Amino acid sequence: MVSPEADDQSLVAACRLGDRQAFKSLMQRYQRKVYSVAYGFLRNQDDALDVVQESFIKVHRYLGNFEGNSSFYTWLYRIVTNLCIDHIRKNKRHRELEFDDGLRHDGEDGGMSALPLSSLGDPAQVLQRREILDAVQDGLQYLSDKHRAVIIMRELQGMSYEEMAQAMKCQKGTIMSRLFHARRNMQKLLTERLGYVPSSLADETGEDRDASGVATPQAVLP
Amino acid sequence: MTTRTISEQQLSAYFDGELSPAERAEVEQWLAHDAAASAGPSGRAVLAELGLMRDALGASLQAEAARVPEARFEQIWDEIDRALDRDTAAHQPAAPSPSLWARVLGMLRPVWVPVAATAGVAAVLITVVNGGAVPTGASATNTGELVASKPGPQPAVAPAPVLVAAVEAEPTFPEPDMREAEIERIEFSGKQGRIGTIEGKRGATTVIWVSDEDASGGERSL
Repeated sequence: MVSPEADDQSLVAACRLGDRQAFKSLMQRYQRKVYSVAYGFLRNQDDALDVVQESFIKVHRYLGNFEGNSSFYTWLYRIVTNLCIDHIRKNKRHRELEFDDGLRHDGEDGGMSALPLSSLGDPAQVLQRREILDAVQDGLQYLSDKHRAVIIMRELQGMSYEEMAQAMKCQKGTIMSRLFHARRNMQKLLTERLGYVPSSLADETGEDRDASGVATPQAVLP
Repeated sequence: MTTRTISEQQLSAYFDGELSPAERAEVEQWLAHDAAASAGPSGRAVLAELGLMRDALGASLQAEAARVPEARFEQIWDEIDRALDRDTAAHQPAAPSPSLWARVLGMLRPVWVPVAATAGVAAVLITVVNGGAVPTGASATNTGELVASKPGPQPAVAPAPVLVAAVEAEPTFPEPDMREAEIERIEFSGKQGRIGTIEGKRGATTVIWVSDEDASGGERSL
């Protein structure tokens, strides 16, 4: 019997030989990560747990097809992503349209120039603050399904544009644009949720800002 | 001096490592100069914000996953375990379908015992046709020689089809003297049988019934 601490490859090999305990070890290793991804997509605990269950059943069922060309977790995340996207398509519980989240998408809303997180101080401390993490959760909640999907796939799963395009059945250029808009909307939501960008930051960095604290977006290369 | 604009979308793609080498070089050249030239936050500040948002997103969803009690994942494992059992059972090789002969035997099983009892007695039938007239005075010696003989008791069951053939005797047995043999009881390879005569148009036919069962129970079938 293979040790629960064995690497993914060894556990996968044991699973293929019918070692159920090895499979449980694999699941225990990734269950919370899978849940994170699923919750990011679906924003509902029960739905996310359903996806966790479905994902591992599928993993076990198709383990024979896993050729090892990618890492196990990449393969696992691909399964999770597909299940989440299928889940969203089937349920249509959330807003369907990409741009129905009340945010502007014409590039005239300050773009990515707002720095809602950087303005809050030491990044290590920012990530420890509960209200900031809650604000991120709220931001995700208000994004459209498609924007949330690209953000989760890219930021949490590290998928390439090509992989995301395949998962969402669209062009790579669409993914590039969609991800940009998703990030910009997320920044805007965080700025609104976290209140303001301290003027002291602008003073420290020497940046020019307009009256609302949002810097002008254009960057020019001489 | 030329002026090139780097779009925020390009910056987003640069952050993701999705630009071509040429585009990447262009952005990096811009980054090297934009701090002095940009009217807004520097490109590096935007990139740092994107990195912080990525980290915050991960930390936020990780915190969300940590809220799920371990017992809930145990329940999910139980569900998965049951599903895998069902999968395993479904993939067990099916029992080979019974042959036609086995199916016929199965159908005949209720009547098989009496049929077997009947068939067992008539395993071998030897007829010795002696020109239509069988000498009634023929006698048998105890050497096991076979000749037509006087009628013996009729078999208890209907005679099987008459085989006009000789039973292959053990090689050590002497050739029978047809003129002198008078056999009422024989043993054949540990079996036993009885001799009788059937009267027909061509005269009396002597038949030897050899039981297919052992000596102890063979009589029962005769």
